[in-house]
Amino acid sequence: MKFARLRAVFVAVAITLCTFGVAVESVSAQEKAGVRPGFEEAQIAGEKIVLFRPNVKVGSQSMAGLFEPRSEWTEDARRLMDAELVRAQSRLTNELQPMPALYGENAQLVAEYEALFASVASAVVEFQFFVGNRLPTRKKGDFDWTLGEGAERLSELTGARYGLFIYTEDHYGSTGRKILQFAAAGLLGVGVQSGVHKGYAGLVDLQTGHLLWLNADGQMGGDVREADGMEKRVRQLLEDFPGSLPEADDQ
Amino acid sequence: MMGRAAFGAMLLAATVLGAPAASSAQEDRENFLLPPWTGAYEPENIDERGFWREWDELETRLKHSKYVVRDPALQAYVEDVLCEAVGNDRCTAARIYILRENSFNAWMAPNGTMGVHTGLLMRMRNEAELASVLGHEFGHFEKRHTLQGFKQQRRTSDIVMWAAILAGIDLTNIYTLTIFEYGREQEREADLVGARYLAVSPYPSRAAAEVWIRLIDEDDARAEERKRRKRNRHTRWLDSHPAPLERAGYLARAAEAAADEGDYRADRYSEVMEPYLLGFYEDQLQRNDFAASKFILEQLAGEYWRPIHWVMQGELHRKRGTPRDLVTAEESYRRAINEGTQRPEAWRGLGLALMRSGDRESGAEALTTYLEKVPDAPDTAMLEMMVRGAQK
Repeated sequence: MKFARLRAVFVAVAITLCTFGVAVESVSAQEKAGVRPGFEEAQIAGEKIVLFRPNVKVGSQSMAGLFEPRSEWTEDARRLMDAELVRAQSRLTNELQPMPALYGENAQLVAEYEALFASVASAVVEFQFFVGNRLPTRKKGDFDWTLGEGAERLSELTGARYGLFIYTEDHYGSTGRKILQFAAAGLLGVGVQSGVHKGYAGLVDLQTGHLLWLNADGQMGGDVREADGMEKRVRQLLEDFPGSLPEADDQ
Repeated sequence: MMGRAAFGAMLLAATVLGAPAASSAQEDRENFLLPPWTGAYEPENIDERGFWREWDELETRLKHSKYVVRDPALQAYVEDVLCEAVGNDRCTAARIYILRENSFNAWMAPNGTMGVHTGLLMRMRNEAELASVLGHEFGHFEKRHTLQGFKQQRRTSDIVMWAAILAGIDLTNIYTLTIFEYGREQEREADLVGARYLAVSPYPSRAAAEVWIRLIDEDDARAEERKRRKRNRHTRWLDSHPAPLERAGYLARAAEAAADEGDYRADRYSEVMEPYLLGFYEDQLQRNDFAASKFILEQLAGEYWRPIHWVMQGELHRKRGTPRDLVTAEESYRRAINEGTQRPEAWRGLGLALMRSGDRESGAEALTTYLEKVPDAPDTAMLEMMVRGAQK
């Protein structure tokens, strides 16, 4: 009798969690980075890299798991991210040049490629890094993704051979969420995740459109609302970036 | 006269209570006034600032989208209709984006971004109808529906969560229904706020109900063609909006209560839309939606078929392309040309229809006329090839 009741509670909690889109903590069987076969770091040495405007989204997570966008946090994080990327420049061998302000058709072109990159990057995470989910055409696991040859126009536009895209999204668990997490663990032994912290960074060869390197993580560290945390976040995003200098040089 | 003053919701309440709406002219006037507008509105609390910030970002991206129709004349016109609809003090709070999208829709974001689909502009028969839709969307903004909807979701989802953890009760289905119900409630509210704008605008507020009746008829035509059940009569549990018939009902009642007069401005509307109509209609024809497309054209043309309507009818039939259609298409294009159309597309369509019917010589002649009229047409190479092929 007691068992039946406990099972009912379990089922109810599981369904509820799924409804609000936040799954019970998953076993992390995911790859986090990919490099295009045949790509060598030496290739990009000294080349200019254009940095597309980083996409930064910060908010909190309601008790049940809804995302609550937070304007102040997002603004802080964006400011800190910009500053941190300037500092990170010292760890890179390439010149990182922010995307200049564009108008008219050029701005439309860049917007289109930003959207395309976002779709490709999420496809990589979904169908390449998540090994159990690989599409039949990707069973061998070759990291072969491209934005298409049209990306060359971005190279002409910016004068850069390579493009770097950065995305971060953070949902900080509210107090209510933490209480819920505690209650779920204490009463039922169910692990409810508090907070979402994901992000990726990707490098594209703008002359061929090929995605050369992608680093994506569903559980990133560093509090992006603080300078120290942002330093950690950017370091994680650019971990193993093809143009980075050995860590020791940085200190 | 019960008066311009009495407004739908209030009248309804009075009826339900069984008390006649006997009030002084002064009171009527007050009931009728729009909610006070406090000028440039800024987000107030932490949630609202979050949504605005998020939308500021999305709007920046939307600005650079290739779906935005960047036509200063059309843009100025739609902005003007919004101002006429909701008043000059309010309308500056919204920024309109005309989007090349063939669906019958418009939308409003919490920070004042308003999307107006070309599919909507194509279907409206007059300014008053457009004003009613824009007013409805502005109503969402004025009533801050995104924020209210989010708060309701958060409240409800918290309860559902605790019910699951503490009592093992799964309320997720009820949650879903509640969210939809709340969304429909907001649509109803936006409809009634919109009716209120319209009542004090230069437009007659009965235009709002007419939009929905026509939407029902359009979808009935579609249903008949596809041999499916007719919809839009009853609101169902998972509908995002009240059923159009229901909307038409309470909007008509609101208009009756307002008893306002006004000008539909149908002539001005069709004059402004004339240059764009064919392009918008071509997008609609991409939907493979013959019966509804035909219905839309008949509604637009009404009893006064202008040359542009004959060109549109030609396109409609040529694109379906049965032998019977090709005959109708040819006749339509010829009629447009005889009645003095300036649209070169009439000759292009005529040429292509004739070619497909097998009359290659006349077809080549019409295509040549088209190429003379539009020397830098994007399809020049293909059409020239067809003309040469016919001459062999």
